[in-house]
Amino acid sequence: MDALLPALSVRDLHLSFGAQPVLRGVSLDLWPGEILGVVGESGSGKSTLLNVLYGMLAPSMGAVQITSAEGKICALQSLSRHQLRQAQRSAWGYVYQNPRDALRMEISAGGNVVERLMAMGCHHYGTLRTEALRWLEKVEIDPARMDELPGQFSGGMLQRLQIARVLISRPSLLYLDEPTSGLDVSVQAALLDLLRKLVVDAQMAVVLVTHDLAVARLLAGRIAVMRYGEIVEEGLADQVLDDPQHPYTQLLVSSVLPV
Amino acid sequence: MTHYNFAYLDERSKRAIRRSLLKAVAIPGHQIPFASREMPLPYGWGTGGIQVTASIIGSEDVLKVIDQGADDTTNAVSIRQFFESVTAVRTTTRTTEASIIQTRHRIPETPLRAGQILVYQVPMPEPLFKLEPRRTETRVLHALGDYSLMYLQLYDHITRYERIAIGYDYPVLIEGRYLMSPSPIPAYDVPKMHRNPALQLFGAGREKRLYALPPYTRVEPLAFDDYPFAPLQVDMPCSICGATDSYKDEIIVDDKGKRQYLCSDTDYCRGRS
Repeated sequence: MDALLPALSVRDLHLSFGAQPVLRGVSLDLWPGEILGVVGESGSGKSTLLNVLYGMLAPSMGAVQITSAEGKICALQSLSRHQLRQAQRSAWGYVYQNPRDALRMEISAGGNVVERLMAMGCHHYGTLRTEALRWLEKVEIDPARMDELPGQFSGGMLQRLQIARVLISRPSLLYLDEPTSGLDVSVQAALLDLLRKLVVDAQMAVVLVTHDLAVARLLAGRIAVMRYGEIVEEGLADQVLDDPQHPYTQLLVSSVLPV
Repeated sequence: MTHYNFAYLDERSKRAIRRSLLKAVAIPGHQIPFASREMPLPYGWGTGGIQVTASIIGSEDVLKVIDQGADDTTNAVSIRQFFESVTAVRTTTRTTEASIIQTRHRIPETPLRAGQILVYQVPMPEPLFKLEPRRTETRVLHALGDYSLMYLQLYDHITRYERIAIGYDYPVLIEGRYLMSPSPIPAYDVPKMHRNPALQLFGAGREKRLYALPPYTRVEPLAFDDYPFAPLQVDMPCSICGATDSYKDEIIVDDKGKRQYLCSDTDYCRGRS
């Protein structure tokens, strides 16, 4: 296995919604074990980019190349629907901003956590049970609440539940779409801490979309700044945030409210 | 009755339904859409089963119709009389004598033999419909063979009730490929479907779907390795014939909770007593 292959390589991605261009020539590389923060104001195309990378939207132009954990290179567009669904359910993960979009609210918390394992063919109740317990502990949810419905959980717990549900399949590529917005600040900090621990341990390649520069600085090693569907600046997180070059980045950095 | 074509439906309609049935037999457990006709009875009373029976019945056939195992319930009697009047074929209540058995909610206790056809009336052909209401999405799940949703349901059953608490319409996997609703037969009957020598046809009139199991098809109830398929069964003999190996109806006989158990399959019970 060639360690120099990027986990994800995006070249000249274009996408329009009708006459409205949403992505305009986005290119980026993501390396195994790296967290790339994508920041920018709302409407800049961040979430659309994630949707394209996860295979939920087809780009009008451009190429996405993915190197699997086994070192196999494949173009996203060449995957059949079957392969795509399989990858989405095991090798890749997507964490939604609103955990209610991803969780099955009528199924117990434990069931939610192990759904991917069942999809991957584990049909042993005892094994599923132990795995659910282990992952609930990892995301710091009291195992005694395993059989409760997610509706009885707080917002922060729901988000942790969603993270356990996604990470249980040990994805090699993880997309985080504003994972901490909508949570109060102390919960945010704990969640970010947890995410960093889990992701770094597993050497995942992560794309983190956020409009919160503090979140990006805390998690991401590298930052790409998006505006009107283009990446206007890209570099090491500290470099981009401390010494922004592009006028838009300068504006973004200076508009953070001081405490 | 000469005012109607043989078996009520016109020949072209019957042929169209038979074509869909051929497709259904070719892909065991896969739901085939068909142009369900208006029948002279309401949806939910067996319009799907009647259309299937009407399109395969010939003048040499012997028809048996059961509803919940019984030959003498309203639905069974009406459908039997309907076919008597529009086909003039011989009807019977004996499982062994029938060449076509139309059924609602049961499989006869007497084992079927090669050459017989069992026609099921199906209210809801989609096994996933309670978990995923979108037809477009269930079609994708069937195409991808992704049935983790159903396993999720079973998981929650064990978590909540310590067993898979599905008493009827128990989800089955056909030849390791398609998830299928066995129609609302009791879970007790599901093992009878497995490798059955008879041809099994399923018709859902309101939902406009047909599906089929050719003879000797592999039918596996969905379960976990450590929680195998284990349908509940009353541990009481039939109070008429004494059978212990049949599916029972429970009848409350007084206002003090006294109950009696009878074979639900009336023909089987009669044959023993």
